[in-house]
Amino acid sequence: MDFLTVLVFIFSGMYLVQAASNPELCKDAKPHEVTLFKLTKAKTLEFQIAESLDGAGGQAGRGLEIVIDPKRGNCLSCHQISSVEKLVDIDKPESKINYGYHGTIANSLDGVADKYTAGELRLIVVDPKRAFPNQDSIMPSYHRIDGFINVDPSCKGKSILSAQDVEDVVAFLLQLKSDKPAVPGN
Amino acid sequence: MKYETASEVMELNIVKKRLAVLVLGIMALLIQDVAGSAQENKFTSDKPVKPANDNHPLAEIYSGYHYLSDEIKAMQDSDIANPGMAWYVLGKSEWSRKDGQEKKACDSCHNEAKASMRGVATRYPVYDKLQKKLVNVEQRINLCRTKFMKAGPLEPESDNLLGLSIYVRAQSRGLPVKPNIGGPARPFFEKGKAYYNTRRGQLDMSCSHCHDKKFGKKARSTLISQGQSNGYPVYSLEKERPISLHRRFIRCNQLVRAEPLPIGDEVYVNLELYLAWRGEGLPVETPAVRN
Repeated sequence: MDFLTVLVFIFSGMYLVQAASNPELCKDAKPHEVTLFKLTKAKTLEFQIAESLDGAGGQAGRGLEIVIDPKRGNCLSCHQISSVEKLVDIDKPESKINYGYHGTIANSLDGVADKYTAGELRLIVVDPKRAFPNQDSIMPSYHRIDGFINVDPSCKGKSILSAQDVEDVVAFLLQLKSDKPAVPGN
Repeated sequence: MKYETASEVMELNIVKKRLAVLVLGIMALLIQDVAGSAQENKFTSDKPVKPANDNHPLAEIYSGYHYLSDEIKAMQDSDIANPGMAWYVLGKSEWSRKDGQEKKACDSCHNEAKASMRGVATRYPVYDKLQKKLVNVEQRINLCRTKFMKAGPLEPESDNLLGLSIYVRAQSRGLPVKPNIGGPARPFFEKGKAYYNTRRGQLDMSCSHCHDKKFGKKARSTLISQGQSNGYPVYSLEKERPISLHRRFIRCNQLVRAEPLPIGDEVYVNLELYLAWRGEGLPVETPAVRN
């Protein structure tokens, strides 16, 4: 072995592989609460979930936090929401980090409240595959646990959002009407 | 010297890592015959490749290179700037390092890798009669070690194994990927294809949802690529080391909150063959540089 080879081996020791640790993928997920939904006839979509999941109304402010949080709703990963910049309290450090980047994978959510009713939005958040049965939707089902395969053990029995979270998100989405002025240039 | 807190130790480790990258980079620079004597080695381009058959999920095939920033493209295009080449150098020394009871090295049977390994990366993974399943480059290296060198297998993701894998694959740089999916490989190809197209994990997404339908779009600020495998093992700027294709599969599984499989798992090797077919015609770019 020449000198260089020896050096390579010495330095390569610094790169010892760390075993893939369990990253607790579902640390921020919530226990699944509501399994059976009453689907009723809807307006734009075929079905809706007309009744609140937790029997109470949601809070739009909490909904906004969920929408922008990469570990919870992470809606901004795929959707754009022009008014978020205006709505977010930029004095909160976590908001500063999360509101800026809007993905381009899915439709903008601007004006989504004009398009769908509360019950339809609820079904879309709970299980978009049920809301759009023919679209092979990429969107995750935020309050469903059955029918998935290879789910990480840390996620067993959990859904992405709790029933209350869903209500909060729906309350926030209902504010996204097109007559509300969007932030220019976004 | 005594370090009091964990963060101090961590900082020291980061300094060590950076230093090691620097030293290895300089060594790559010193060694003249890194992939010939050329310093600029552009083996791929932004241009798409047309699929060879109509039964392909993509209308145009783009290497992951296409989705990189200009800075990272320049890094990959230069063997001196490409940090992954340090592992090429390591692999080169490993190629002729005698080991095991037989006191043999790779070059005891295969001689010069430049000639004997040229084209290998374009056709792997391949069906192996004795294993009765597909074998990828890393597994072939370890089969050679255990069977012919009578040496122990190299650890998955170890520098030595990734170094050798990069060294072997880099001998095909610029050659178009062309795997054999016929004959006994066919059922394994079909399994890989099925895995690719199956929704999984709590987020309930298949590979196809992102990489066939949403490439070129952004998840937050991250540009989604076609998920092509022609540059693997790649140098990961995030990890500051090379990662194997299987390591990347694990990452993808975690992103959709699915339970990952171990590196070298048969299912992952089947997926590897499907991806090779899906990227048929793209030039081998190992070691590519990725975010």
